[in-house]
Amino acid sequence: MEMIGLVFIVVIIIIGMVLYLSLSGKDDSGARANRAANAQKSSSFLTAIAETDIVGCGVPLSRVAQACVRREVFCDNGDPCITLERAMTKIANETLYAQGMKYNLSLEGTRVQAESDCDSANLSVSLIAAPRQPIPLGNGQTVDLILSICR
Amino acid sequence: MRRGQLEVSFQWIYVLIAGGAFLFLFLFLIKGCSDSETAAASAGSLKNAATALAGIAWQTGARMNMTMPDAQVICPASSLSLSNGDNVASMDRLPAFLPPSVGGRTRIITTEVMLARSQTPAIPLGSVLYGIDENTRYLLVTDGSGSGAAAAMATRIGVLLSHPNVRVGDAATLTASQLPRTTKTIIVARFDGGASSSLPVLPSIPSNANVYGVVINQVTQTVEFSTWNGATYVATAVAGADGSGNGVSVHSGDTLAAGAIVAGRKPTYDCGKTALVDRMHRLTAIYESRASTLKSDPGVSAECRIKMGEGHATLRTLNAMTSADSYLEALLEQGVPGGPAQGMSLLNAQDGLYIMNCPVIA
Amino acid sequence: MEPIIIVIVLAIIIGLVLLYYVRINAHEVKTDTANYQAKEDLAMLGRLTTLPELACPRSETVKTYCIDLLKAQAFASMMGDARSGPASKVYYNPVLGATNITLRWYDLAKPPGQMAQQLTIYSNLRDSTRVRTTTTYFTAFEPVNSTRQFAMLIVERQS
Repeated sequence: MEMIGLVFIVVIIIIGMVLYLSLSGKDDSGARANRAANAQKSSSFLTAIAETDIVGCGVPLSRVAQACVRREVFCDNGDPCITLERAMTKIANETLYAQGMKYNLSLEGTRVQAESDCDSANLSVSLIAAPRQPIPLGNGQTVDLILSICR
Repeated sequence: MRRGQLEVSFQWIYVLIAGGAFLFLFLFLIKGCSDSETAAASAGSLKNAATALAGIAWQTGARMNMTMPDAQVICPASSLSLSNGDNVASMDRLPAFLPPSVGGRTRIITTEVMLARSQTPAIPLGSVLYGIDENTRYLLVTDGSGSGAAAAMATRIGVLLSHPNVRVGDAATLTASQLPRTTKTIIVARFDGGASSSLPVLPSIPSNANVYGVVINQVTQTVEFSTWNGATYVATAVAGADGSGNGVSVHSGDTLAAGAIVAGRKPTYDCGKTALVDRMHRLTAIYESRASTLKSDPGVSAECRIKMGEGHATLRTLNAMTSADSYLEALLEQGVPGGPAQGMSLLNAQDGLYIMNCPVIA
Repeated sequence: MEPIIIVIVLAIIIGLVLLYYVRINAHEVKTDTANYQAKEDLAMLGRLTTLPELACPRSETVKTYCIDLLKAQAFASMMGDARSGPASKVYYNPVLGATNITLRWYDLAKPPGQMAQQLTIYSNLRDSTRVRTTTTYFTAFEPVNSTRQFAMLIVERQS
């Protein structure tokens, strides 16, 4: 009889420890708020970078992106896609990379990309849904600038 | 020891263990509860702070320097309202003061428009709207007679509605009404001579008041507003007089393209005006510093530097003014009265710079 | 013997239930706090983007949050002025609160590592030990050359 009681106590203690450990585990309080804040931050990054003037061209990055997609000769007669990628890489390195973030910043449908330790393998587990900044191309079409922050 | 004594000793040990377990658990839980309460208190105060900032006007505090025109009147502490995060989504992000004018019509935007339109919090008396939406005309209500009705209305002012086609000298009857199923009070100005308001019949308190100022050029024909419960009301008003000789008369001039003051009585209006001037002074001080840099920067073209220099001179003269009325008049319409920029107004300076494709003042 | 065992078991069960309740409660409070802090951050952002003391000229404000660099410098000078600075901080405290607000902008013409310039616009943090930092990306407008530069606004607030 005592053995049954003892077993009962041990079982309760084990359940209690499991409950305690589960609650003192990963603390996701405010995770939803953090996700909203991160999404807003990523979105503001894209908006700001699209409006940044490119050195030597005097036009915003969004205009260079348009030229890249339309395959126009532009600005310094060079390849606008290369100009675009250089500018994106420079800005992302100084900001996102400097803050310890792993990212992939790309222009949809092109090879233009700036990334840091964020490849297809861990994109699938990205913490933040990738926001997009649409850039108008005319005729109602747009191309998206996409920022993914990775784990 | 005999067996019985041993059993008794074991029993006491078990009692001690049980008691110790109880004590340990209680101490642990008390500590957990008190930590939780402290955190709950700070979460509560965060909530209160957010609500307070969102709901009330900006308190300039006891150090605000005010002129008290009536010894029996106390200026309301709230004197300037700014936006809060709740209005971000619906807020026009264009800056408030001194935008370039387009076709002679100035555009100034305020976030307070959203508060008034959405009827969420009541605009406290003495609040200053430091800019006004171009599509909304605000009526500033003040009482010239000092009667009890106006004093009663002063405590009930919740929302100012926009009314179309209101011009200087127009008169109307102001009605304070409570929206059904809410505690919100609205003020509706009814002008004679046209379509009547399509508001449903509500308990109303007729009162006559003077409207101190109306600002914007462009108006809408109808005002549509909705309550928290989703009901929608539409108000239409036209100009005219109410026949009794009393009514609302509309004045211009001292209200402010830069702001509208919610005033139940003239002293309250004066308090708000002082607060507005205080704020405008800070803004124009910043603009003066900025203009000073621009007028001497070699990166700016020569013609633009000259034009900016005129703007800077105007700002410097303005910022040196001490009279609130003179400052506002010079700021908005008449231009500065003296000095190297005599007769110049900031709006004209801004226009000139904009047309020349120069850096603008604000 | 059995009653004592029963007492112990009951004590453990009650203790575990109460423990569980307290942990859940604490967790909810933490979530509440985090959510209100996030909401307050957005409110602050709303205020900063529309303050005419800092906002870009209307013709420049298109889609993005924008701060005029010369205005920011003038505002910072006003706050730092020995004579009028303290009164200015009192005036803006209801809007900007107990925060440090720093603008950092990047000149793409400069080489990497030297692109950033920084300005503390507003400094009113009372206790620098418990600080929560939020960063938002902005456009910094330079009115002399009418150029728009990539920028960050760093707001440190009391935690």
